[in-house]
Amino acid sequence: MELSNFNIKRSIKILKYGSPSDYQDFCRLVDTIDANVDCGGWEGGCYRGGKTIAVSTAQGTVSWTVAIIVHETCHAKGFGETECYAAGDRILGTIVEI
Amino acid sequence: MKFDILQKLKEILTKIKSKLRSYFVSFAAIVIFFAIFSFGVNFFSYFDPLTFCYIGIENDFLGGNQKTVKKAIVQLKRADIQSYKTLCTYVDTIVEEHCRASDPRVSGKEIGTYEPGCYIRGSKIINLIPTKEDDQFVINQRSITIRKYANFSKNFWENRQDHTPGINLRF
Repeated sequence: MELSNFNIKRSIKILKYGSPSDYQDFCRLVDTIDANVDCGGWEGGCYRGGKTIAVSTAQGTVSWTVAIIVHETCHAKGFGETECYAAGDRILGTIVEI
Repeated sequence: MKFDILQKLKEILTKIKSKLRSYFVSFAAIVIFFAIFSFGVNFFSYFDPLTFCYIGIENDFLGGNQKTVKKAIVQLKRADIQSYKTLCTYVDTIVEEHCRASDPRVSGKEIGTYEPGCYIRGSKIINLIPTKEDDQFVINQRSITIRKYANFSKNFWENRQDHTPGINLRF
């Protein structure tokens, strides 16, 4: 389990302001985040079914955590890996400004 | 009669003296507390008590250098006070971390990884590429990068349009 949920909370806040449409999907489709490392390791996540996702990104950047949340929310919409990797890639391109 | 007046005057002066002493002790305690607080906060982040500018620094212990981040902020303050004010208002955290603007599993390439920095939209966070080097070139580079992305944050928060009905988007 992550020592602190700060990274996840901060990422949800970034999603809220950085991509409001993805935030709306997240709020509609997810009601529980499991922060244990058993599924995502130190830098990943899982869709657990229902409205639960696993996000474990203690080693990841804050933008990567946002991408994991969007990726798993995409699974909650019923899409497969290809579409959901693309969703994660899209959100990274949206929120990371170079 | 004269003795009474002098006696009362002495009492009043003694009271004033003891009050002044207690005020001085309180003031000194506040100054000492504030100095210790500033020192403690500056150990892990940047805090300028004169302008009440606080910026958290999340440094990379193995590959980064917090000192050059602080020196870059100080340099920005000396060189461009307007940009420094922008930084203090629109940036709350500087993270020494590589930027990731793409998922290489999709695009086949890493975007942003070796850029000097980036701004995370929807936040007040700036990323700086980690480096252990401590020379004037790195400080200059970091100062320029911090100024650039502080302006990106300003642009985001000044120009954003709240289009999420029913959600309080106040920051």
